[in-house]
Amino acid sequence: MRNHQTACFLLFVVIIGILYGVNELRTATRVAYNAASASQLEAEGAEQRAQIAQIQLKTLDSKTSELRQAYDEWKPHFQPFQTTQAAEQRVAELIRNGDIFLISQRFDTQEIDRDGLIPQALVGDLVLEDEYSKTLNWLGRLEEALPSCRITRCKLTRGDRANDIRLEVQIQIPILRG
Amino acid sequence: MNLIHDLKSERQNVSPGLPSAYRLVPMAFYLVMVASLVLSVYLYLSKKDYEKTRASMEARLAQARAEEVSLISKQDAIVSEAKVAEGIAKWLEGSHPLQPIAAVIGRSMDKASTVAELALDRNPEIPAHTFLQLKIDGSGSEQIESTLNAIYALNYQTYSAQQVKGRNSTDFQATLIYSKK
Repeated sequence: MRNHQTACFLLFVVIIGILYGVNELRTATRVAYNAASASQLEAEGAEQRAQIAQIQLKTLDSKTSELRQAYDEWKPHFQPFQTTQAAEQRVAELIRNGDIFLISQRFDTQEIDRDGLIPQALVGDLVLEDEYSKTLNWLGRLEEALPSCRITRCKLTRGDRANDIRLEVQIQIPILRG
Repeated sequence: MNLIHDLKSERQNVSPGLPSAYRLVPMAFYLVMVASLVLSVYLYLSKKDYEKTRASMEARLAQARAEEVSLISKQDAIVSEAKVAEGIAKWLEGSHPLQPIAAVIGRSMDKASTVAELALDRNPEIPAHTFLQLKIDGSGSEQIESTLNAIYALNYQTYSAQQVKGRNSTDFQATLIYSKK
């Protein structure tokens, strides 16, 4: 009787052990399932965010394409002037090539936007006097040769001679941040 | 024969049979063995499958994150380029050439009129606004009208226009704003 009881008890212990082992395996499977589900959720969330980012990129691209295209076209006109000396030289060259009578010239720098794209500009005050059409044509050529320039002041008065005009012009040439 | 029989005496049972409930234990053992084997195989395969799924999901996650980072960096590049472009556009908005205005004003003069003085000053706060001051000798309001028509043809609009007629001259001033058509 005692041996049978012992055998039964041992079998019972083995059954409990097997059940415990199976339960452990079930728990591990459950953990793996939860981890897989969490990863799936996370992956789907990330894919959704990537899709949203893709849509935002397309929207941003189309919204700013015209502006950026204009920038690409204008960039070459701004880039040559990264120093005030370069801008000053260009103006002097245009005066020389224009063969126009220069009365006075003064160059200075002016702060435009310290933290912006154009932190400063070269400000040139020029006084010229020459034949009417020659002077106006020179002004036109100046604006054509320096498309990025801004003429802030332009005053035309009669010159000393009959057909002459006096041109007082203030020009700003933007100096791009390097 | 009798001698042998005599040696093997009748013996009392030392252990009576197991109670019927105990007989279920071996049966339960076999049942548990079979069930646990089947269940273990099923659970093991499921676990492997979930681990495989997790690995593939993590790969998807990494790919999606990398894609998101790349898209966001592209967005940032576009935003910064657009910001630069806006700065350029803002500058250019106040940089329309003034020579054409001066030229058309000169051309608009009739035989009896001459430009005594012409000044074009940009507003420092709003460079797109240009303040025009014009003094015409020997003319009337008709000349101003034809000069303004010439300016309008360049897509400029005039605001706060004022005209002062002198004895032999006319002073005119207005703010010019370029309007895109």
